[in-house]
Amino acid sequence: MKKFGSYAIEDGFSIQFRKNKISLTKTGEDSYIYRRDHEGESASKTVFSSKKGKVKLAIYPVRPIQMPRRLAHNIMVKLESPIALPPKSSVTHHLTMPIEIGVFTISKKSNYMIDAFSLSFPKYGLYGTPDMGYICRLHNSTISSEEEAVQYEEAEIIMKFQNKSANWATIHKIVMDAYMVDLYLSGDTVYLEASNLVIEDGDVASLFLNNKPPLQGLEEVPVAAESVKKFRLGFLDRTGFGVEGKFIMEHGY
Amino acid sequence: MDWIDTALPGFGFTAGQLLFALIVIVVGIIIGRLARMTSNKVLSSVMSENASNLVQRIIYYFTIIVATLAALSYLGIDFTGALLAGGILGIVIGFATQSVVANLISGIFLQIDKPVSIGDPIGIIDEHLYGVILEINILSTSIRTFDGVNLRIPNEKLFTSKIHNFSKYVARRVVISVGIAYREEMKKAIDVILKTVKENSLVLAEPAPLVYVDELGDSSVNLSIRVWAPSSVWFEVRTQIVQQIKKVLDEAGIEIPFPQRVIWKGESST
Repeated sequence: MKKFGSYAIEDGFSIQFRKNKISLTKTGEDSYIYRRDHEGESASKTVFSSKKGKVKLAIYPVRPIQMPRRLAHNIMVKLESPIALPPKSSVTHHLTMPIEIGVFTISKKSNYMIDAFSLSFPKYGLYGTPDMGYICRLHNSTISSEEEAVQYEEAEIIMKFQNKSANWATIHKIVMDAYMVDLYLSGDTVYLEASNLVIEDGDVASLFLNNKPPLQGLEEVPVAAESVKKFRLGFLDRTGFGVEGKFIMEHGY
Repeated sequence: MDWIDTALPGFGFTAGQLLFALIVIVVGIIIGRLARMTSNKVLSSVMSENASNLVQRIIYYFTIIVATLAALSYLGIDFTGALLAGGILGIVIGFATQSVVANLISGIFLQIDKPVSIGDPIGIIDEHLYGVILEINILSTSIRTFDGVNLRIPNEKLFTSKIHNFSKYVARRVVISVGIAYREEMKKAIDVILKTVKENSLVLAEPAPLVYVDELGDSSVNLSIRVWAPSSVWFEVRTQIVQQIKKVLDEAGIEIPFPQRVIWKGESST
C-alpha cells in the first residue's frame, strides 16, 4: 500500500512506518490531536485545528536535515568502496542517500510541518578540518547498477560520474547541500533529482543537481518545509554547491 | 586685480594670501569629506557602524585641522606658543583620559581583528569569566555570563586577555578520562565504551571516536575517550557520554575503582 500522499483528516486515522505509528484523534469540533508513537512510546504530539475539511494531512519524504535536530545542512554520502575513473571517461551508478519523513498539514494557502522523523539512525560527520570544514549528515552508500534504496529510509541517487581531467580520479565521498536537493517519487520509492559529478582538474569535483527527475514518469514531491523553500529561492544557485568554495575530495581530517 | 596684492590693514598678509588660505581650508574640507565617504565604504564591511562612524569622524576632523594649520602657517601666523600650550594641555588630557583612549583604541582593534563576534560563547581565561558576547561597543563589551549575569568588560581588558572562542570552529573535541580496575580486561572496556559513543547520534562518526589506554595509574588503568561533536552541542554530548559510559561499564560489570593504596606492614626484627 502506498503511504506517501495526502489524507483527509478524520478521527481514528492511523498509519504505520515500521516502529512509528501516526494517528489522529478528534478532541473538539475542529480540533484534532496528531500523535506519533515510537515502539509504543509517545514521540510527538501536536494539537491542531482543521475547519470543515479545508486542511489535509500530508506525509512525504523530506530532506534529511531535521533529525535529530538541525545541526547540518550538508549531506556526506560515503561510498562503500571508492570509484576509480579513468581519464576522459564517465560512468553512471546507483547510490543512496538518507531521507526523513515529514508530516504536514496542508491547505490551499500554506503548508505547515508538524513532525519529521527518520527510520534510520542519523549520524553526523565532519568534512574537512574543524576550522574549515562542514558538519554533514553522514550516510554510507552502496554502489550498484540497480535500485537498492531502503524504502522510507533512503532515496535512490542515479549519478553520472564524469572525469574530464587527464588523470585517473578516485571518488570516496560526495558532499551536497541538502537545501539544494529536490526529491521525486514513484509510488513510495524516492529519487534524488538528476545529478552528475564532474571532475575538471586535480582533486576538485563539482556536483550538479539538474532540477529534473532522473527517470521519466517520476513526480516531484509536492510538499516541502516552507522555510527550506524560501531559503532556496532566496539564496541558492541551482548549480554547484551553494556554499562558498568547492568541496575537495579526500581532504578528510 | 590690484586688491590681491593689497596688504590688509592690521594683518601681515595680503588679500590674495588670505584668499589662498581660505581655498586651502575649503579644499581640506572637501578632501576630508571624500576621505570620510571612502572610509565609510571600506570600514563598514570590517567593523560595526558605531566604530566606523567614529573612525570616519576622526579622519574628517584631522584632515580639516591639518588644512587649517597649513593655511594659517601660510599666512605667517606663528603657532609656537599655541603648540606649546596645546602640547601641555594634550599631556594633561592624555594622562586624564588614557584609560578611555586605550579602551577606544582597543575597541577599534576588536572590530578590525574580530577575535569575537556577537553571539559567540567565549571564555576569558585570565579573569575566569565565561559567557556569550551580547554587544561590542566602542569602549566596552557586554557579556551574558553562563550563570545569567550581565557583565561589562572594558575593551582594553578584553583585547589584551587570552580569549577562548568556543564557537569559532564547527566541531570541538570532547575528552573524558575513566579509570578501570587492574583486574579488568582492557579490550573489553574499550569495546564497550567505543560502542556506546558510536551509538550517540550527536557524536561525529568522522573524525572517528578514539578510546585508548592513556596511563597506568596508581589505582586504575586510565582510559582516554576522545570524540568530536558539533560545537553547538559540545556540552550536551559531554554530559551525555559521561553518564552513558558509567552506565555501560556498570552493566558490563567493569569496575571503576576508588583510589587505593597498599599498606605494607614490615615485620619486627626483634
